[in-house]
Amino acid sequence: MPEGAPLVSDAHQFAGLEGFLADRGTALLRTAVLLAGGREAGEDLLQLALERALRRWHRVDGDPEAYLRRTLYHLAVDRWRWRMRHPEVDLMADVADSGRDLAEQVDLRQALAQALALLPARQRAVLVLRYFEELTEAEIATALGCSAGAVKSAAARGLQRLRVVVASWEPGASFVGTGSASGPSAPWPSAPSAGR
Amino acid sequence: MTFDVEELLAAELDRRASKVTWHPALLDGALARHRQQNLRRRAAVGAATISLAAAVLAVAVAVAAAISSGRAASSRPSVQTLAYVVNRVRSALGAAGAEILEVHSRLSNGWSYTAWVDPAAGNLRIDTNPPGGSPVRYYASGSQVAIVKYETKTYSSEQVDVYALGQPPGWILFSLLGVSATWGDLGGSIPSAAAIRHQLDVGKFRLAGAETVNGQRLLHLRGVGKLPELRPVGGGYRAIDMWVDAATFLPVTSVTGGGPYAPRIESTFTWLRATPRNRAVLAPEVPTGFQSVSILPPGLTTQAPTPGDSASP
Repeated sequence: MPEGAPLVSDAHQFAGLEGFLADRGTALLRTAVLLAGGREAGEDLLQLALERALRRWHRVDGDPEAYLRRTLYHLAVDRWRWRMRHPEVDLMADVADSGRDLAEQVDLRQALAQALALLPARQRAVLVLRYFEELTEAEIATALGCSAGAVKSAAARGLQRLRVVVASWEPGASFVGTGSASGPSAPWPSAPSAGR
Repeated sequence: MTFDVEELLAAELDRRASKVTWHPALLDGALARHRQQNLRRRAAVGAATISLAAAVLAVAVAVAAAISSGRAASSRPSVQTLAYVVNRVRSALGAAGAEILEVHSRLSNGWSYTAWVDPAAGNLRIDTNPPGGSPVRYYASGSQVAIVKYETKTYSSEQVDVYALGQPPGWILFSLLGVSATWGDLGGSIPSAAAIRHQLDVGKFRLAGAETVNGQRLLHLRGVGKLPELRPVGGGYRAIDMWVDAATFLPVTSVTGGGPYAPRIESTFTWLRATPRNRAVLAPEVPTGFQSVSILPPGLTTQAPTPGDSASP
């Protein structure tokens, strides 16, 4: 059996699935990892969502990604609620950075990521969908099956908790942010004037 | 110092997500669990009517499913052959082709650079650090090239020929007329996902082993890459060591051996999503007060140099 190839019977039953996932699997997995707080948990979350989609594959009409994302978001919130009731689970166990990052002293980012992992289910999901997926409030509300008001308030409460973490950080702590040149930026500098 | 928590959060989410890519074993795991569920349902409904042959088959399938089910990370073959690893790396690079590749490189001739490659948009940015000199930034978008020189506080924006001298697909090579010496000093080309994939196709590699570096499990590929004829930089064969992440199979670092025409280059790779925020990194920025000049000496055209032109300044 060639590595990575689905079983013959599945290839027919779930026609198009392998190709769809080759195309969109990375995007889905990234969201799952961020929602779940780690790679292992994210892979489990996505596999669970896939399994549910497989049961209803013949009914998934037109947009499998939308179906998978909805399932992912709902599962993430459900599982998060379960995890918060079982606090002995180390939510950040598999989110450790590589030694290269630790050597770069990104403690503030690490603290931020840990604070994010400890947020209530909905607050965390809202922040991931807003700042990673870049969805609007209305889109997040549709995705999570709640009102726009609930999204707004979850985002505000989640950000407020993260601000507390950031505000308590000592000045002078090393932080690697996105680099940017000083000075104003222009899309493309205009060409030098003629006469060269 | 005040921090913008929303900016921090977005950057951190992006950074963490950039290390994650899809691998087909996840689907295999979901399919195996799906089959197990189906078998259980059928067994519960028709237990009394299952024939002996069907029962034997059900057990065989369940055993196979049990072996392959579970977390995707445990469903790799126990012995990772070269063919398996190369296939997975190619697959990962194929999926990463729509992303932005950030490369940090140090060269044995004293140069270093950071490059961002966005093949989907056709954009490129290189921040070069000449030995003992001030930074020079290059931006390319299609055939438009902008150069910002910090030593002279000048910038230029020109329409030049962006060309490939019979390059394999994915190499982004362009001639910066008037700065060909710099280009030679940079080793002649900047990698992209497709270019690295091409090296796996045309080069001869072997699986040199697995290593754990700073807690990250890496697979080491060693071989000889067939590099394109990079006139005036030269070309031919060059030793390549590449370390890929054992989970994502994306290249993490590489060392390209030097030769008579090119310096030894040590590079690290970061794969970024092509979000508007990340794409904005490749947009030219000109510091206030910099003067506009032309990079083309009078009389020179924007024609690409022909093979055989000298690299020396």
